[in-house]
Amino acid sequence: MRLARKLTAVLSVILLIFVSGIAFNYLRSRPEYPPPAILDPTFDLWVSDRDSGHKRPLVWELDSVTGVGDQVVLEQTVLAGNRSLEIRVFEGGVDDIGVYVRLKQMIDGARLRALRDSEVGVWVFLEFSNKQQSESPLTIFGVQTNDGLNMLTFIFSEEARKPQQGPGSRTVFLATPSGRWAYQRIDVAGEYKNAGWKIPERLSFSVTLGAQASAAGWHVGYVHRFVVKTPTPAGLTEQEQLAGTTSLAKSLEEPYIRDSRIGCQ
Amino acid sequence: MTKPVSLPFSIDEVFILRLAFLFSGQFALYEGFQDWNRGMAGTGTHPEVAILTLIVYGVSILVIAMSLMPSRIVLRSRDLPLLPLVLATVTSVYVVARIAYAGSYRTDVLAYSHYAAIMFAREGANPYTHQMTEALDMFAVQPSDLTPLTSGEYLHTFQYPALHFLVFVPFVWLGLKDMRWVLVLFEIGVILALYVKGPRKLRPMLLLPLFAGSDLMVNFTAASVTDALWVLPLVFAAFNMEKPLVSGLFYGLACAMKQTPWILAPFLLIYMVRAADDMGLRDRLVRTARFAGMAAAVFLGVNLPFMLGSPAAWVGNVLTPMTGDLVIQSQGFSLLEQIGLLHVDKIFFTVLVAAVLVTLIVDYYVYFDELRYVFWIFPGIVMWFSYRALTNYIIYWTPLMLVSLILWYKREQAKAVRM
Repeated sequence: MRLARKLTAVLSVILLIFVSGIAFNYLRSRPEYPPPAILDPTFDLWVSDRDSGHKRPLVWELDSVTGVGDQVVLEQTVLAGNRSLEIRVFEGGVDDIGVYVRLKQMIDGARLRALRDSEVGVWVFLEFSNKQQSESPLTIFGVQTNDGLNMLTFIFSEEARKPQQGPGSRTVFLATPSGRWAYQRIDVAGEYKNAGWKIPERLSFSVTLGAQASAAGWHVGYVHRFVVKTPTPAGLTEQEQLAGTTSLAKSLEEPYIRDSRIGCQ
Repeated sequence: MTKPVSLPFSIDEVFILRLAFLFSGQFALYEGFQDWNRGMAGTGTHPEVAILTLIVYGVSILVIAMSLMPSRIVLRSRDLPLLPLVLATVTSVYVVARIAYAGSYRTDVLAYSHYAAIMFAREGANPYTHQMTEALDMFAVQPSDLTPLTSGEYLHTFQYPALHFLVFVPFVWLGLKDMRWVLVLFEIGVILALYVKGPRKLRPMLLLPLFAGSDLMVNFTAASVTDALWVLPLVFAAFNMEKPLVSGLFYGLACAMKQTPWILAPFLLIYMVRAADDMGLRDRLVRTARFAGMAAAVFLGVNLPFMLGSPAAWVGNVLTPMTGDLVIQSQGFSLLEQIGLLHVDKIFFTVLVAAVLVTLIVDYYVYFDELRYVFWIFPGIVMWFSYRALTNYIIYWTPLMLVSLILWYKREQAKAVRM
């Protein structure tokens, strides 16, 4: 016991240094675990809105603009076998104010770095048609970022168009087939680069649906989930970070339109 | 030249008491001012806060003034410092919980546990097989208070041993709406247990470490941190270490509350074997087996119905804090990873935790005479190296260190008497 008492303390320190050194050396090249760029990417958590009494997503902050007779409805629904967020807006056409809804979250620090360095995509379902729209769309369904200086909008549109850029704003049109689930990549860092903007310290990231005052009727958009692929030192991972996304992609290939009770009316 | 007068009391004892009066009055005064601010006492929107603030201030000033009264008065009122401390704790928890947080829970842990208790009380439901997301709505939990996974999704299952919700069931039946008051009851239990068991002359000083800052007794509880639940039974276990069955009973209860006390198990077993060096090996092993058997029986007695109800769900949920893909959130060593200064796989922290734990176990056995009373902080040290090292994983061991201090004092006193 006397020998053990003499040696144990020294050996403990040596063992700790040795084990932590070996572990560090072996594990330092492994992939990092950055914080999630997008929180609640599947719109899982819903609570009752104390003011309206309706359900709303807990993590995604609701922000809307409505005129007289306009309505905003958010629901969890199952569309073509996939649970999704259903965003519906009704433009009453009574006044000059359009109807817009944004579900947003602030992203900064390590989460913003993760957003910048990861491949971000989203599964969306387009029901309405944008084909006959002019340069300035009457309705928009997309993803928007706003850093206080610059606003970047990705619009899911049936037609491929060139990006539009103005002072402090850039709009990218993502050709999206209607009537089926489609995966769209949301390349925030790439579009910031294309616009010549500096990556900010924080930005709001939102899903948005809106209609101008002249687009009277119901408009709807569905979002199944955001997908974030984390990069490795060798590049982007082949496997999707979210389990089952690859198989999901296959299952989503077949177009399927649910009995349309809303859509653009 | 005057003759020295022999006093009927120790001047050191009175000096210590006077310090305790000053400290407790000062602490309560600080909390009173905080409550005045966060409870908007000056606006009149919450008249009860104004009344409570006046009471806290009044008691604080009284206790501060009494600190320099004649010695016989100070000695006669030796328990008075308890009053401002308990009063400030209860008032602050009320103001923070009801007004600053508008009644909402600030951790998903308490929301899920309260919801599980409601489900069990009303329908006898097994919470391990249910999603708890309804609780977030019911208790107005904010997104910032949820536990995110690296995928961005959130934990929405009940992840603790069964007593963590069963403890709330009687209070659900009684109609209690805010289970923070149960936590406060447990806290007051801890304070009283330490106070009553502490050496009479030093009792008020004994509480000072608990109130060295507002986090341990006020802020964490007001913010719905539930660790007080396991601290109280563990305090009883520690005070009864010489009675293995009683100690095992309370240790089993502590382990049935939360996973944190599980880390103590090897150290407690070593204590049971080594602390009774005057006994034969057989007796020591019997004593250790009694402790371990009772602890295991109590733990299983509470959890077995739920384990049998759904073994996979119980195991999966209860192990989630250790195996779940939680994001780094740390005031420990992994903070370096959190802010990007260190780039390692999270297994690195698991290896560190295992290495530190094994080292401490071996060293505790070998250097038992020196480390006999220290081991209550060992789980805090181990967890400080873990992937998620939150302050409450460390700070809640302070009451146990105080128990150990009392036990050390009594043992040293007994030795002195024998000599």
